[in-house]
Amino acid sequence: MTKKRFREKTLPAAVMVGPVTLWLILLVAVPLIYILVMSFCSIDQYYNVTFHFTVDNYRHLIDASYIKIYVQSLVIALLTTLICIVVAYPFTYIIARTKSRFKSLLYMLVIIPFWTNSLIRIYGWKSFLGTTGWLNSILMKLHIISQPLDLLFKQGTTVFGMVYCLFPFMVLPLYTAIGKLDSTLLEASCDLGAKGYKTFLKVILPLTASGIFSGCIMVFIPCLGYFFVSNILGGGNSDVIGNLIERQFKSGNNWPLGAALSIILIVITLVLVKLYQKTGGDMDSLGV
Amino acid sequence: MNTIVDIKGVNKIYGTNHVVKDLNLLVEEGEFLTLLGSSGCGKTTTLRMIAGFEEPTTGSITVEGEPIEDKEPYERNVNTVFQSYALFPHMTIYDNVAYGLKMKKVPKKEIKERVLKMLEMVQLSGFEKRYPSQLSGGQKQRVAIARALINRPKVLLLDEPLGALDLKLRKQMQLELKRLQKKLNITFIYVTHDQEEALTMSDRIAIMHDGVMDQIGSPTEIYERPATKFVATFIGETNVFDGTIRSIEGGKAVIGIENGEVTSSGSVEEGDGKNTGFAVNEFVTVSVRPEKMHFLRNRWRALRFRRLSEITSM
Repeated sequence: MTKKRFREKTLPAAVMVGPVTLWLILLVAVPLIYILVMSFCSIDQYYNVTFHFTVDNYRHLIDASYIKIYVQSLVIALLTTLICIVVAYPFTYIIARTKSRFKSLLYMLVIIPFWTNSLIRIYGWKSFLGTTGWLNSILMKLHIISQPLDLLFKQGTTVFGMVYCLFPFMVLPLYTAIGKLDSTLLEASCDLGAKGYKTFLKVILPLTASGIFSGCIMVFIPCLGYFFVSNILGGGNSDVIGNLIERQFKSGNNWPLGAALSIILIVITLVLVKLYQKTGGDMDSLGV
Repeated sequence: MNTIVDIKGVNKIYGTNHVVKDLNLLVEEGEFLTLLGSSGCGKTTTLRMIAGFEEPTTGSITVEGEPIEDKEPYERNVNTVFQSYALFPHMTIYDNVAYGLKMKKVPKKEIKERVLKMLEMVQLSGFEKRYPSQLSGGQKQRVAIARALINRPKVLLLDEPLGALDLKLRKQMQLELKRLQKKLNITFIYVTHDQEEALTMSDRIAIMHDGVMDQIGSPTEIYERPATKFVATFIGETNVFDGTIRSIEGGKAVIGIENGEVTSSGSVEEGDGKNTGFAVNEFVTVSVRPEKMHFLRNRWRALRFRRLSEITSM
């Protein structure tokens, strides 16, 4: 009996679930534990990691210079998220509710650019916006400007790059939420005396709030970590937490400190996701 | 009786699809009018044009003598009860019902009084704090009706409001709707494909078929004197015979059918058969309701019809 049970129930289940479990253990759980352990390790004078328990790494995290970057990261992430909402909402609303036969084409047009690696696209922007770049040469040739505009290496440029990279992550959850909106509810609202903006505030916005919130999470969190955007477009003037982590692992050669920073980033992420869940957010619409 | 809604020469065309064809319809104040027809006959489109969700391609609609073409739905003194209820899922029952009054900036105290009274009227007192998802289909429908009626519309438009309910509940809601309509004396324009529902509740029924209104009249008129073959067969059970008029004498027509002849007992008007009345040798359809037949023991005429319902021009 037990042999039969093994053959008919346990074995097929193990075959199906096994590879995924192994994958998750090896590539998610083990590295995470590794980072966690690392964050409590110390380094010797030759920058070698030694397994000597310490909480110094976490103590370093509240250095004034770091705090300045946390604040800067939060500002950049908040600005990016805000711009993404304001731009993506009306845009997505039109795409999601149009009855045009080009609907799926419009949707694809949002997605297709993101099949190219974002690093390459950000380099593209750098050469486009630079003092000898396309934009400046065209404007100079047209005599609209006499001096090249200094567009790169500003916080605004970083925010622009972040918005550009993360825009579809705002569009996707909004598209789902707005697409699900029952149009008879809008008709009912109008029928009951609500003008367009009232319907938007009282019906459309509350019913798509979960989409807005999940979009915010999906933009805000990566924004804290997208170090390459601030590296390439910000030129060191607009570092985010991701830059700190990158530096500790590479030039700084202080892996334990980098690990501690990573743990903080993970904690921030988890807190935000928990908050999202608490406010009634649907975990599935995060798409993770 | 005053006319409250006047639909004149209305056509609605979507692309190549002619949904409503030259519709003329007068709705009287305080009546319960049903637009009856099978799906795709244009009845819902007609309702949506009155509500303002669709615009007529040609023609005009007036409510209380005022043209409403340029008015947005929220400016029209009509309200709609939707087939899918269309309750706001994120609002309590109280907020759902109060929505229209809040939009009109009615004082809070008055809103409260009117909402509670309205909920009492639809027998949902005590449900204020619940959400639509916590209600049954019948209860949701009552909320939808309350939410529309609280605005004291001149005309209430109902789009198959009972379609999603089970038979027993539907019967009960039919009576309740009729009671509400009588009590509040509001004009109801009711869309349904359920002829029984139409016959039970309506003062008048307009039968629509392929975008054309075939006939309008009281349930009895529609049943007893159907204007077209479609109406005769659509409402109730009937027997249809195709034949030719052999003679018309003293208002009684003799019609030759496949294997015999029938004589009408009602009055048949003689005319040229095109514009007026019926003419001899005209092809006609005879419709006889089953309950109007009785069988006699008679050597010569095995079957006689006690009374012919209607003779319909082909």
